[in-house]
Amino acid sequence: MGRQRMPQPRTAARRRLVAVLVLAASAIRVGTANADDEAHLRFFLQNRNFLVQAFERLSVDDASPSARRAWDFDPFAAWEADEALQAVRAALDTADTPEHLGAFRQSLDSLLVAAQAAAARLDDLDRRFASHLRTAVEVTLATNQSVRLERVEARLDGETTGETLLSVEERAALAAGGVLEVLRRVVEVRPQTLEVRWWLAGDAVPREKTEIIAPVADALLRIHLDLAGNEAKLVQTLPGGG
Amino acid sequence: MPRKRERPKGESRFPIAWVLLAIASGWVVPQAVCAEGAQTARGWLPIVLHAADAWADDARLVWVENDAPVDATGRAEAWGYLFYSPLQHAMRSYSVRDGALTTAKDQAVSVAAPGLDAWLDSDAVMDAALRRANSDLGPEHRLENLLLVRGVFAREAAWVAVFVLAEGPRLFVVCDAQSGDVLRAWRG
Repeated sequence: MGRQRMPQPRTAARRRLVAVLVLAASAIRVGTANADDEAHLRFFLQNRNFLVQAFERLSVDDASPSARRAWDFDPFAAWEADEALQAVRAALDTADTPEHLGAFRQSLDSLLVAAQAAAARLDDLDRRFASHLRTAVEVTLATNQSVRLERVEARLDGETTGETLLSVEERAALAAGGVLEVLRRVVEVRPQTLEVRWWLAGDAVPREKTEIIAPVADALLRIHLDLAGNEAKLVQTLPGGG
Repeated sequence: MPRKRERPKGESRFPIAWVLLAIASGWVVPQAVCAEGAQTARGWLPIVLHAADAWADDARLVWVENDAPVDATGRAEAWGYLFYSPLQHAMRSYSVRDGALTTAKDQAVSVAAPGLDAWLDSDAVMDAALRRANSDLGPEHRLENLLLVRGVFAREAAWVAVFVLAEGPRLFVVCDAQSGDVLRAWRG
């Protein structure tokens, strides 16, 4: 591309000049506020109307393969639990000879096989669900008996993502040393601002703790807020001690 | 590729004003700076696919565009990626620079755009696009945009290189995203 060519400097003066220009370019790029935002999808945004009309003219098959793929497996579908159990009970109730005990043993074995199959399908479901969730954040909160928590709210990048009005039972559980889950959700792998606001009894204005969190790919980031002391403490942990 | 111009003896030692003007206007980043951290469009794809998966189960990639100047090898320091979710009927875009997400934005507009399936990487189409631009515009052109989309400029996924010559009209070069061949070009 023609304008990106630069003459090759042959003298020390030219080298110094090039160095100055490179530094100038770096400074300009770093110093430009919101330069990334301004450059982001510039062509798409400048030609948005034309592109939207072009897309609308297409006959797009909305039902993508991933959308069509339903979670259509039921770990219990192939296993009529009640019927299997009733068969086992009946086999035992009617057993009055060693042969009948053999039939009971057979029905019990088939029940165990069915149970193992269901467990395997549940494990499969669990694996799929875990891989589906992947990067996530969990925010929990604890207090003690002296703190009467009324309401708590969590926000990610300014958007309210979790809000809880505490019931009498929840307050009692917290006072007894329990932990309240304020937020648990899948998040993007990028730094985000977490704000936790809480209201104690009689508070008109919430108290607040703000933290930049950095979710890690394929991991659950745990944020724990301890309100028991004089000052709220916020701790981030990753599984494995990260 | 552009022809190298021999500078006659006695000519001004260095076109300082030109270079300063170009840098200040954001047109040109010296090669040494541009090469550092530059990547092809597919290089950072796993990062945005991961992010889009967190956003929507059915998110599909529908648009790729350079978010920083593209060099002659089809690499840029930042790429933008646009996803569409049919279930949410929403669009969300991401920008990646130096291997990190720098922007994640819900787009105000949403349209059922077709997903990008098989496509060559940005470095694989640059040669053909540059040859066409050199042929139509001469060597003094500048690559303004390199974008990938399906169904707008061609039936299947296609890379579109937008070249500009000074302040003149733009040259659009459409390359098949599977073969890299130039499908058509026009000035607009």
